[in-house]
Amino acid sequence: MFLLDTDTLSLLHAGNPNVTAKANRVDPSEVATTIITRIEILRARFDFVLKAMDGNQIQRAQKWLEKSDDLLRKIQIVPLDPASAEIFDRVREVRKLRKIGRADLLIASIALSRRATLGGLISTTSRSSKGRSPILCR
Amino acid sequence: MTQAKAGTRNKTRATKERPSGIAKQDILTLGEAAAYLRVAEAEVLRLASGGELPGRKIAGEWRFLKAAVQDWLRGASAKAFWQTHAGALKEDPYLDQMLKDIYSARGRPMLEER
Repeated sequence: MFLLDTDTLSLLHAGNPNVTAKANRVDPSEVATTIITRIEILRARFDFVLKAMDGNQIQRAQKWLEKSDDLLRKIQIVPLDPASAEIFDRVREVRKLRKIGRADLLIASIALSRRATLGGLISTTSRSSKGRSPILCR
Repeated sequence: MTQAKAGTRNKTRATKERPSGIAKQDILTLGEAAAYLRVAEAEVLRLASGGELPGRKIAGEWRFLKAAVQDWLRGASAKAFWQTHAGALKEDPYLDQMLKDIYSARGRPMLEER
């Protein structure tokens, strides 16, 4: 299973050529994102609607909210199940991991629980010398 | 040589010449391919004639290798998936700000390069 993080999914939607080329090499039946990414994107979209300055902006923000909502319905969303919730409870107690944000820990917990369920299918692919990306996780 | 012997020899040659592992049920007629894909025969004919769906016309009749049809179908749905997503929000004026807000809340920069 390939889990797309929020930045990868958004850049794919933006038509970023690097992400699009990378994504095209993956079998879509194995592509998913997490409930955390769904929450982050929709929450940001709701904020744009609620904070819009005038009627014109409200309509525009709502149009893009609907578009994002529609796209998120067309990709598999991996939820937080009991196994990932249990992993989350364990990793948040690890002192060394305390500086990692809650959203990242939740996504990591989901990824780890899927590895356990699917038999070691999740790992992290390295992207460049600039760093490692947890985006296309296998 | 008796007729029976010749028949046996021809049968053996036919078996040898058939690509290994392809059984009769692996080859579909036009009607069978349409039923398998759950579309009208005319649609299969259109796709095959246009070279989109892999198939061969033999003595005026279309034949399709089931595995090739499956591969084609898999490839077609993969293409549709990426076409749906790639660039779908290209004109979105909120996207950059949305990512800034999300990664500011996460307390770290994005890992993907823009």
